Amino acid sequence: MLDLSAKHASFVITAYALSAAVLALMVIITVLRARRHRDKTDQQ
Amino acid sequence: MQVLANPHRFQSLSRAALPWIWALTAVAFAAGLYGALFNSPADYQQGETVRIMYVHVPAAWMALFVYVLMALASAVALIFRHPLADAAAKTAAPFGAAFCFLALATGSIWGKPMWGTWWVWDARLTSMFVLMLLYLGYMAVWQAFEDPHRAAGLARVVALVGVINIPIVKFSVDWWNTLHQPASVFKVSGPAIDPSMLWPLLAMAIAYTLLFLALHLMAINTEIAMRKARAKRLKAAGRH
Repeated sequence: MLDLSAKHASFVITAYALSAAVLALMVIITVLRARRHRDKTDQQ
Repeated sequence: MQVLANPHRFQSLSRAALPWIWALTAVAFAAGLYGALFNSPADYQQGETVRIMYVHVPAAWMALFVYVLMALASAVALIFRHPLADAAAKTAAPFGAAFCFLALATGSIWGKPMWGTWWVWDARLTSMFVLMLLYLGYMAVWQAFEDPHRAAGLARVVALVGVINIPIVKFSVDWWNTLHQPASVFKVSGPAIDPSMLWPLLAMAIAYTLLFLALHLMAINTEIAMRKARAKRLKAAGRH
């Protein structure tokens, strides 16, 4: 298990937080774009 | 493949598959993160820092995989002139760029405590940086032209020429003396990683792949919808 008091634990947390943020951003942008264009298509 | 080549059929099939892919992605991430953070040991040399490998390596694999996929789709578009192949290549690029950025950034975060530096211009890091530039260049080409047919023509060339960088990234650690360690999973002699660390790594790699698959299918569907809307607009403009 990850030892949060270990010497370089902050580097591990930063790497995981950054990965989670970028992957979440990928999901949010893709879903929002899909929704926006679906709405536009429905309007047409 | 012939069945999927029809955009309408592709849309209905991918929409049916998406909920299953999302569910599998969630399961793979849960298993991978459990293994990476709770069930795998710290390394005897790297300590806890080894856990960065579980997010860094899958991101690097995906950055390479997505570019190969982009080049293959571009080759199909060039040979068969199929619009779906162009859409597949175009929509894959931002995801590939994001994975490449993650590989570079998490590698840098690992490098500081392990190598004592955030960055070195060794062959592996430099060729990954070139891959990032290729992704950005490819995306810039699509934005640079108003006519999508002209953009597609140049984008295919960029994707196909840039694929030469993929073996350079893969074999850079064998061809040159690099600070980056050599391959430890895809080796002729088999993986050099202990199974307790290998399975979380593979689970995370599967999770990243499934996430990409889900997002890519959604992005292709959006691209098809955008192209249909554009064609309708042009048709309507032609009538007036």
